Amino acid sequence: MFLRILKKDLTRKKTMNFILFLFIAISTAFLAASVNNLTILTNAVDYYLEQSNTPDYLVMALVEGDVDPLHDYLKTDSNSESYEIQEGFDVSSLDITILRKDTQEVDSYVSGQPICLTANQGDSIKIFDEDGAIPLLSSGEIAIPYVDAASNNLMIGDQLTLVIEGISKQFTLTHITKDSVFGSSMVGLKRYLICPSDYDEILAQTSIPIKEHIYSIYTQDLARFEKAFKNENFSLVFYMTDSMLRLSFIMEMLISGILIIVSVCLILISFFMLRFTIIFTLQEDYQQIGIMKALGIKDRRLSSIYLTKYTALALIGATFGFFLSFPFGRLLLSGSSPNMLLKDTHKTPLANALCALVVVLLVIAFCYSSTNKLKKFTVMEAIRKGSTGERYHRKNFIALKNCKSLPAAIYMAFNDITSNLKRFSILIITFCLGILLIIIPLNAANTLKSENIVELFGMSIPDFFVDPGNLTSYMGIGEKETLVNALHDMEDAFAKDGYPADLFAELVFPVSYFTDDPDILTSIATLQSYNNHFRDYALLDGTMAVLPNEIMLTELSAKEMNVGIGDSIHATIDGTLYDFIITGTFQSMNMAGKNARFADSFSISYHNLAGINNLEGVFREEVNTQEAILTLQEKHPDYIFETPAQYATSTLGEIITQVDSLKNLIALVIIGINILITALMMKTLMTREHGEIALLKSLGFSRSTLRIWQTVRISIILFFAIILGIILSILLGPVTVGQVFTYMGANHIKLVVIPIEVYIKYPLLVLAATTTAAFICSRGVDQVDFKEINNLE
Amino acid sequence: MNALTVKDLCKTYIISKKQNNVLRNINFTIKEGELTAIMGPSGSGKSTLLYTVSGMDSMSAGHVTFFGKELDHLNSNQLSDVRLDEMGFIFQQMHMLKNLSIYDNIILPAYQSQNGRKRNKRVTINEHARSLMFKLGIADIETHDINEVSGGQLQRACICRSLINQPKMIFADEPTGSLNQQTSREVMNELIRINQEGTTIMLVTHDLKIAAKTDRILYIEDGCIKGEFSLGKYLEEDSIKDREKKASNWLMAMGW
Repeated sequence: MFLRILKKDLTRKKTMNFILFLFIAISTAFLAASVNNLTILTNAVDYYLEQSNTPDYLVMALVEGDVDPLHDYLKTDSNSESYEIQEGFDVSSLDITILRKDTQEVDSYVSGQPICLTANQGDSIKIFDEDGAIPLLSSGEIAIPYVDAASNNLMIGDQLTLVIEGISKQFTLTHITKDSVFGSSMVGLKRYLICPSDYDEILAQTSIPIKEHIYSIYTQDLARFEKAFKNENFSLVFYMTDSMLRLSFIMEMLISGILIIVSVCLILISFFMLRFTIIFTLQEDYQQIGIMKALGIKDRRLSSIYLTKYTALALIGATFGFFLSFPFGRLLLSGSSPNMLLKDTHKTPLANALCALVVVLLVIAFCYSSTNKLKKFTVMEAIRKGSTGERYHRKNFIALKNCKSLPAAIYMAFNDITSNLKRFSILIITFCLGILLIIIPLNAANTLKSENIVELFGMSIPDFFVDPGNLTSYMGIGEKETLVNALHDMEDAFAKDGYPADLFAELVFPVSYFTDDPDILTSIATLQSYNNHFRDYALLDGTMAVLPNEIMLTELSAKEMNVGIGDSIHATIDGTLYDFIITGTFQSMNMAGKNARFADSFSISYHNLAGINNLEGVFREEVNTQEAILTLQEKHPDYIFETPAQYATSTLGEIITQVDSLKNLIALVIIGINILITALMMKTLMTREHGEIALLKSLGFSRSTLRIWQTVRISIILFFAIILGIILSILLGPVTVGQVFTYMGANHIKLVVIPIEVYIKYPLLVLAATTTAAFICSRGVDQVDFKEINNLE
Repeated sequence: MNALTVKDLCKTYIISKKQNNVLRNINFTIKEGELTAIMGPSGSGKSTLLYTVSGMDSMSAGHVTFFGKELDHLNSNQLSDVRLDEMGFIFQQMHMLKNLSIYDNIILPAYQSQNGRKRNKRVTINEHARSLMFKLGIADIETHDINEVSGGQLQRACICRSLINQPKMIFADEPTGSLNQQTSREVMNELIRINQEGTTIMLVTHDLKIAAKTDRILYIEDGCIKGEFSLGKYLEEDSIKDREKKASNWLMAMGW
């Protein structure tokens, strides 16, 4: 008999059961995809570095001829366990031209960073292709990292012509690579891969004097190795520890951070949807339960009927959702960084299976608690759907009679929401989470695009940036004069062109500091500008370092060393102990915020130089900056001139594009989710409101009026959700995406909000899409027959 | 003038692939100002007839003319407008929207009407609603929720709602079916008063005492009008017992 009741229930309430099934499936898909993505993204960097076998210590040095003192040192060094050397040589981006496969157009090549051409594919710092496999290249083929491929709009099959020492060599682009060490947009060198035979042929045909050697060193005691290694004072292009390497993924982490926020919100949405639907559908059954109670069926038997029904629905829905979670998860992950090698957990779908099980258990738990509550009801209370009939309370907050001109349909929509605020609040929260998911990445993208982002890299905002294309040639030279003379030459040339300007350089020196114990060292990338006397850097607190014994620290570095303004820190540089007084604090996203800044007056040997961030310029006279930059670019075609905004875009260009596409992907996913939720919610509500709809039809309310009532109700809910979402985005922005920026080193970020986008464009887009979906779904009122007036509660 | 003219009206349902002729070639006329009762055994098609001639339900064949308008030629929006502005409905169950107060339920159709959409007309509607509630003795429950009042009060509120747009005709489907005798009598008296004020009424009833107060009784059986019996206008000085006896005799002859 119970089976017959169950069978009848499943066939009679097809619509509601189908809606419940869909919600369970969608909740499972959201939950499983989000949890799976969370596990992938939170361990993404670890996984990537492990797969590419990155070393504990990585060094790059220039080697002339066969003399390689660093290799000799490593052969005998007892602190290193093993090492591997990869060889390459420098190629200027100015010597590369593109022949596009589709259009046969020839383009010049753009690369903001030096290029190292190599054929060496060893066991360490492995390069992967788009599919995560090791690229196998034949003669005439080349593989380049995603960052450069994206900035040059390169497609597989395009031809690259490289001119090396006067020899021209053409390659076909066959792979776009993921390079764990040099692939990040934040690392100032890119590795291009060709096959060994081509590499040997180039070497045989040319006489490249200087080669670039990349040393991957593995050690058990990094501190000991580093201390001994530094004492040798090798001339290095740069070095990197494992922890520094991780910090180079900050932009990838920003994207992962945004995706993690999306995943958490989707998990919340899935729980809200589940709870709403189960309680709603069970309330539908209360009357039937009451009647069965009246017939004398025991509570336990009643519970078992509904538990069986909901368990069966949960199992079918969760199974469906489990399979749906894979494509949905992949869709979300498609917005993650193309430079990252992500673990393919879809082959081991344990997390997805566990999430499906959690959903089944949750459905049973919700069902059990609801049927349990029902035991406390009397028969009459159950028949009255939980109402005792004794508790009277006013439902409508605003009386229709007080609405002087509001159309009746809109009043009814508004009144439904205010009368059942608890029921609709779930929908408001769900939509609100969706709006938050759009606004937060939007603000992150706009913050990254703003000109002020330059300041977040610890720099001042100049009139222009200039890249002469040979910045690496000043590294490891030991002589300050070489750079100074080069700058003076450029200044003279610009003055002759009619635009006298002061040029200055932003230099990076890796320095290890200590406070009390000289053995406890903190390695900090210390910035110093050459010749920048004219403008202040953005400070968080204190004053600029002016005297040679003064220094500024980022808040993060100060916190790590447990020092503050007025305290002293010490460093041994080239065998000399220096004491520095901290005069101010600033923030920087360079090296994830682990920065310091020397005063310009502090003298340091340039053989310690690890990098030149850029050359910057300030015009001495009042000029039209745009016009001046264009003129200078025309006169010096070998140089690259950029405004601060252009510099920010070209430095972060790839990441801005990624965040932009991620933002658009999220907006599309949210609109899709909103449409789905709207369709299901409207079907659910209309099923329950057949009586009301029939009554209004009989009273003469036209179909269009009824459709407006149903549609406007969803629009009002969404409108409130948008308002709430905007308010919450202001409050939650700093604790969500702000935290991602904090992790990147900028702990006092002011998110850039473009009002027209945040308050108008995207909310209107979501509102228009959801309202259209609601209007289409409201056609359901046409199907309601006036006879259903008797279903009115 | 004829309020309602029904000609060769047929209504057929298909249930489990079987044709079920609920109404068969119905022909009758209701004059303006007339109070007509539809009687017949259960399942004879009384309610279906009421809903079909009022444009709520579609007809399979035939013609219905309501105050000169051919309902079978109107589309669903035009039918809605006719129902809203020119018809009033009273149901056996006191159907009202649970999220609205008694007063708001009454004025809702008026606010939706062409008149009610104009800001300045809403004051007049509010006054009209209050006067109706006063007339029907429910002025004191204006702000009440629908579950705070008795069945009789609720049915009176439904009558108020049906009158709010000053309809030309009221269709009532067993309006006293859910009420006790006393309340039933009171509600019927209200309907008679409304009719005396000029509103045409067509009501479906099982109750002989209600039918005895109407001008005319149409007897329907198996979807066909078996006959009609004219009682004339009910006046207060008339003996209700005599009317009941006449109606009863006729109904017995019809096989009731």
